[in-house]
Amino acid sequence: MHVLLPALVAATLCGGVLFLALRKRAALVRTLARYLALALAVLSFLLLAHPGEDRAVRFTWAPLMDSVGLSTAAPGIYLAIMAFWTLYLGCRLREERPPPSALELYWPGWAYVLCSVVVLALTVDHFVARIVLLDLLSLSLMPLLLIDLSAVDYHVPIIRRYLIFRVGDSAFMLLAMLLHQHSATFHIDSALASAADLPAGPFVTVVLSGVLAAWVKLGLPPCHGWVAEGAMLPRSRRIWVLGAALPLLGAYLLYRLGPLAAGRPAAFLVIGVGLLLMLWGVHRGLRSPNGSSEAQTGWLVAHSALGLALMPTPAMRLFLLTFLPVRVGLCLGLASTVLLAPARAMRRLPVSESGLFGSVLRWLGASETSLFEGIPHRVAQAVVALADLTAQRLERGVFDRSVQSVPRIVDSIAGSLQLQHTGQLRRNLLWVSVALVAIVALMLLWEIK
Amino acid sequence: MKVGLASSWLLALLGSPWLGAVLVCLGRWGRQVMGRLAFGSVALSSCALAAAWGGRAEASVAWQPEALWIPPIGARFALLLDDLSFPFVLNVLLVALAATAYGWGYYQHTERLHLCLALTLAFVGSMLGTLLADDLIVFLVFWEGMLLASTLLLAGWGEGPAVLNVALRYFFFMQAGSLALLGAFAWLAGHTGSVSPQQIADRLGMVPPGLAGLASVMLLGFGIKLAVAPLHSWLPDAHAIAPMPVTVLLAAAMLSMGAYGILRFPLALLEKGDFVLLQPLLLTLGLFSQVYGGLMCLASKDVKRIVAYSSVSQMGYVLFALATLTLQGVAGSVFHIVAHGILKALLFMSVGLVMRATGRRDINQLGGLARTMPRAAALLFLATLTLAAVPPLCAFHSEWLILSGGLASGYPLLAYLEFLAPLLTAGYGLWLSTRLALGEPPPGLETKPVPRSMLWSCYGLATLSLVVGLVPAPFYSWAMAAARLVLGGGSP
Repeated sequence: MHVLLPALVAATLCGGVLFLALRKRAALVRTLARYLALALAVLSFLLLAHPGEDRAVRFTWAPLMDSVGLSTAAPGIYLAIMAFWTLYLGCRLREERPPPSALELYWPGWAYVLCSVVVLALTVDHFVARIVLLDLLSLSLMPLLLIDLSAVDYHVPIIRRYLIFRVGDSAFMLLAMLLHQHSATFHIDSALASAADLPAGPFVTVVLSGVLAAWVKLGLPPCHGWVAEGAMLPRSRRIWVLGAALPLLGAYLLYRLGPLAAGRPAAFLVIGVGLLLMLWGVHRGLRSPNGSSEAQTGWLVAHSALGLALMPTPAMRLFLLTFLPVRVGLCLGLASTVLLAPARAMRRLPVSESGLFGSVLRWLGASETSLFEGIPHRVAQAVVALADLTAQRLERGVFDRSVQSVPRIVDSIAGSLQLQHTGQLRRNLLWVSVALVAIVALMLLWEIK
Repeated sequence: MKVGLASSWLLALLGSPWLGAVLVCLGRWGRQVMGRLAFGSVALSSCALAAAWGGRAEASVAWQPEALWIPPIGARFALLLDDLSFPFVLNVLLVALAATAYGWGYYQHTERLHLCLALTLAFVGSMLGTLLADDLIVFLVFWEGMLLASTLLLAGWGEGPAVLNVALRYFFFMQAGSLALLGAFAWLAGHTGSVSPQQIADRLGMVPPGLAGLASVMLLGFGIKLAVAPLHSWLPDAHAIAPMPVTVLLAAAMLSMGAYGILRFPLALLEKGDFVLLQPLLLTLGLFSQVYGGLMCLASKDVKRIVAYSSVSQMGYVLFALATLTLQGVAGSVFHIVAHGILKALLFMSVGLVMRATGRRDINQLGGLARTMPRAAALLFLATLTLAAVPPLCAFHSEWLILSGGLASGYPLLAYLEFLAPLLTAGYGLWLSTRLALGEPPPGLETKPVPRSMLWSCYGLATLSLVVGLVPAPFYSWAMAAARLVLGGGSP
């Protein structure tokens, strides 16, 4: 179990590299990417088996810096699981627009690379490693935002966007260094725990630089230019650029900094600014034409600002857990039609989705001892027996329809988020709310256990 | 005389480029053979460095002849390779290897190639001599040798209409710095009665008060070589007219001599207290140089001048790091010298590929290289990303040390301002690479193939940038050892 998280990340990264290498065989890559994403998303649930335990491989990158490891602690691990599901959802979406350039062929592989970087950034327990990953993520988003190399004066938007991201990264670096000066450690949990004892000056700088770093990643005004540009991207890219990549990490950073600001006079300032920005976003969302990138930007900013307002409150945890589903919902729901890839494409390969599920379950059953460490024996036995039985049935095609319904549920949620028009916001929000409530309930139940 | 195997390697380390210079100059060789000889002599010197450093029995390797070289002033031809000089020697040799390999293809039609290569090797040999010198007179002799060789290279093989003017300006600027150093060294030697840095350090108690003034004079002398604003005005023109391999040596290796001088003499010899008044001034000057160099990059049109001004900005980082007077900061300056050596050589050499292939150097007449020269464009992007200290490339680590040193320096406002400087660096770096690589190629832009050796030496540096970034541990150790030696007080 202790290697599952690194293994999933490595598989995602390898998948990305493979799909980048095979990019010219677009149809094959799309199908393979969908299969692998589904497998990764399903397997990622196994990460919940040991929440709160820090069991991943550790290594030391450079002297003067502590060892780097991956943590399976909540809520980072929940967000990582959601990132894997976002990858799958992105692979299931078919774009209605023609590819703008040959660089579109790079997308499936790029999505995998993004997913691996995001999961690493969410789970790594070391400030320097997180800074490196955030910087890599900022760079990885550049080709997504700027796919057409032949445009005139392209250097201006590239520089502007990268510099905005870099402001956030520099602020985060300042936060890490100040905490390191005080605590002599780069381990995020230990350093943040010691922050409360900081003298007033550095303490304020730490909180301000943390908020600034999150501000940029969430695309709050005046750093929201890239949000408006991201809103014009095809959907499969939009859910990453405006949801699962930097904004998710920004929300996570706010959540981590929340306890520092709570109960201090600055908390009221943060709440006030957050609420004002929320009003700004709602006003812009309502004032702009439905479906336009301006309107989308408004709603997305309002959502991010809500996070800022909730930062010093316990409700921030709920906001964080619902962040990605809401963002994905907003990205899919506020624009035009969502098209799903035809199921036929999945049948081109000799393995069916049922077969894939069967293999996963068989593997689950076969590795009973290592996977179910810490879980009551009877429960583990029941799960293994069920997995074995299901695998046998699957091989005979008994549960074919049932199993296929799992990805279809995801599809149908995504599909129903949008019917032709963006005007049907109420219906969209209803579905988003249903999905949210279900996911949050699951997560909270798990944690209460 | 202390003579061990490691000491003999020290002589080989210093002697190889000089021997190469003599062979290239006197022999009647073909162009290819001369290129190989130049590269081979630097490679031999690199092997000697590995042997000397790897085979040392103590913390340092020394060559200490008993006989005096100039008896009336007590000068002896003493050499020392210690924790401080090692990273600098490594940097000079890495850059020289890349430059001579690049020159192999670059100098296809150069006249008087034997003289050009001999002077290049003498330039490298002088830099090595400066770094290894364990005697003030030996230091000054090699320091002047460095100036002579580089001035002759600029005057004899420079490109452009005002070559002699630029070469003369370069010479006079450098000579002014040398005179400042000569004055400071003479004052020190006069009061301590020795030209050995070790003995001077031991006898500093005999020196009358006013060491801050002495430090200022030395900082002026080394600051000109470091080319921090406002002492930089020799640099853009000299870098712009020099043949590309010489530009690479000037920018990526010779500038580091200024940093080495500051570390070896004012910082290592004097106490922290002597810098109380100077420290905020130097920190501010470092920041100013970063901003000034960056803005001049954005204002320039000639691609070579753009990269040249980036050196002014980068040396601002080095000065800021030195002025923090902290372990991390000083280690950061040493690490940054190596990182800057790699990235600046790569940047100049990739710009050189573009200039050679297109015959143009005005940024407004270039563009679309991602389509016409994808490899050069990729190298250019990598070089500018390294310049912007993007992880995991090599400059990320040095910048990390510099920024954390700034925070520990006791000047928080200046340290916070320093966090903004990388934004400007990233801005002008990306401005250069995106202007050259993206968009449509301008009308009439044709690209000719470039010699393979030019391309392969760029690949080598690009790989090195990535390797140092991914495996930074040895460089951290070397930089920290150098910083401990400097800040530990006592002898240099």
